[in-house]
Amino acid sequence: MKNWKKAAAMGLTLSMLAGIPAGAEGTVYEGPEEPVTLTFWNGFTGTDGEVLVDIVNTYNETNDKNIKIEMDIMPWDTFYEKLPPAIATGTAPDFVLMPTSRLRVYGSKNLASMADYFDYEGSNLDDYQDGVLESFKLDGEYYSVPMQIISHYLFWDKDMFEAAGLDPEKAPETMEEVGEIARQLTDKSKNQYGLAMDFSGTNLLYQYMMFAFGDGFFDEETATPTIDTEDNIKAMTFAQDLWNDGVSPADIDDTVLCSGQVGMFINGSWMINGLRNAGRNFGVTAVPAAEGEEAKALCVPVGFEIPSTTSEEHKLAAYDFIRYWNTTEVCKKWTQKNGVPPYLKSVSEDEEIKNDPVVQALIPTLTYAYPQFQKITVGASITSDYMEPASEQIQNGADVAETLAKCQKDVEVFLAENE
Amino acid sequence: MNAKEGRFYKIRSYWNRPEHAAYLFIAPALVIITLFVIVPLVSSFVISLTDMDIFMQDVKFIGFKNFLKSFREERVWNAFLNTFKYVIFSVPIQIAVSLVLAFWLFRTDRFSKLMRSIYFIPVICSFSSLGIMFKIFFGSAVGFFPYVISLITKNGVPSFWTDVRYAFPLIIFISVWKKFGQTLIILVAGINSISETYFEAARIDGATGKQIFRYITIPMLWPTLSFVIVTTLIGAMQVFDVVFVTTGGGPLNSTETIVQYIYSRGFGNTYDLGYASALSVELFVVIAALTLVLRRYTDKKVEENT
Repeated sequence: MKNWKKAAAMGLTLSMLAGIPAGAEGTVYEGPEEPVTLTFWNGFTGTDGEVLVDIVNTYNETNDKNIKIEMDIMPWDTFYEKLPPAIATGTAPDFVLMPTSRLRVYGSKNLASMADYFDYEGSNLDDYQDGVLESFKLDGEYYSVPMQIISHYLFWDKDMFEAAGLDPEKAPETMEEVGEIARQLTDKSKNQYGLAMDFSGTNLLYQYMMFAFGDGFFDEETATPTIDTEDNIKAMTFAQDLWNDGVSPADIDDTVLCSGQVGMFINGSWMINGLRNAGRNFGVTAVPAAEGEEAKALCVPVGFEIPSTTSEEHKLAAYDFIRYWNTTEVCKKWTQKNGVPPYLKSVSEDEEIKNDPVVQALIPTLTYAYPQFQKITVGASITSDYMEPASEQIQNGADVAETLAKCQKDVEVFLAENE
Repeated sequence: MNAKEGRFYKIRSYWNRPEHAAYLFIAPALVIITLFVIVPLVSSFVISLTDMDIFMQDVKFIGFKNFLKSFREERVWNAFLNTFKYVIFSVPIQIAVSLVLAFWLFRTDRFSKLMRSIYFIPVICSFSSLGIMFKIFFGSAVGFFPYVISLITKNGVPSFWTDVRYAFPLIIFISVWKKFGQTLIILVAGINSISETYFEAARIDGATGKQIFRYITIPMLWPTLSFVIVTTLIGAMQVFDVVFVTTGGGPLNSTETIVQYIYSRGFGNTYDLGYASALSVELFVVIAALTLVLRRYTDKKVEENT
């Protein structure tokens, strides 16, 4: 982890030495010669998407450069199915939003380099927190510019805690404590459960269980799987026991905490806006580690990308919106409304942000969270084709050690064939 | 008559001949079939011999490697097995339900017409929409049915979609519910085309309803049944939408059919069009072989009964 941060800091320094202008200086973009309509695809279908729509509408109304954005929000699955053929057939949108773990999948042939983004006035390179921009590069070159950096947290329902005689303001401090409280909160006769356990969903429960017990399923430094380690076996056995004790409802989606069905949920910060809208009395904290272990987490950097099919004129117009997004005002709005940890120094230093307890609870995780699958192309397949099925098998009672050992072998073979 | 007019009359008289004019009549259909069936079919086979991904760049010819890989892959065999299971259960149930109802509702009275219309409603609805509707109905988060069960058992809300025991039968139930109306209409038309004299003669001879159904209706209905069996089987082998929207192939790949798997290879994270095409070609061969065998059997039955 420290190595990643060191590399990030070095990369930032080198890129600055290489002559990328910082701060407000740079080429002035005066807008397109003719009015331009940009198409923009992303997968923000949740409540955070409403805030995104609001920001895009405000940009359309206020920008004086005759740039109009037509945004198409679709489920991420649909997005990932539509974008590649759209690029191949020259019908791709002008710009998109994607997690940077996908950059390597698309590669430099299908995405336009954004190396010149910071050449323009208003791109404020100095305002990004140290090391943040590293994960937006592909082989040392910018192919993405930050939109948000999120992580996963432990959410808890304060009202349910109070009703069970627990201190509603005190979050569980260890994973073992999460287990104990989950059992205590579960009352099936009331359809009330202690912990939402989605073994194969985007909240990466298996990864956070493995993190809690000191490991994880993939070594980012060496780009090799570490699935069947002793710590991971211990972690998944812990998860299997919890599941067998019936602490979780069977079907999980983001609404289970909003509806008051569960007491705790490990999930992404995108939950916050929905919880606020539903009027839940909730707390949020870093996902705790097991006793004697250090907390670990993943971060998910999401950035603006430009398909290789976008014309230079549209690319520059898209840069204008991306610069607008990366202003203190807009990033602050996104941070406050959605409870996303800020990546701009100016937002972190803002007084309102400093006094926002939810945002402040999210920030510490980003100091040790790291992005996944930065060195490989097939990371998403490892998750969907190997880790999720193995996790599902463990959920259904399979032997933990055997399942993880088989998964380890399968992923090794898969990586050898595909990387 | 100048040379231009002469050429025109020559062309017209050529195409006016019945053996030539026939080609003009089939030309529109032929163009459509070529564009939307033959070209994609041949393309699929060509793509299956390459390592093409969805970006269609740096494509290399790799021979039959994709096919060999598929024969070794456990998940492909599982997907084919699930597809056969789906066909074995859904096709006979769908036809049996339709046949019984068709015998009951073939008359032209108001009640029969009304019931046939009601049974046809699911047919005109989108399969994906119905799948989503049933997913919610049987889902443990907001589903009505699991909630009622939880009130009775007081032991939490069961989940049908994540339980290996229930997910597959539920998919078969939804498929039959959605499709039997269409089979029913075809069978009713088939029954109505049987001459009334056969039924009259049977009744005069004192045959019961069951006997008429078994010895008159079924044998005389074989040409229609033959069509229904073959088309239903081909459709069932390609089942996808209901699986995609309800379980996505889970839990534990227990509902993953071959088209669902083809889709996940071609448009999922791997974007492996070459491999997905190889699987499509395999599915095509399996369907063609099954259809051939089935046609032989049904043709024989038709011959025996007519």
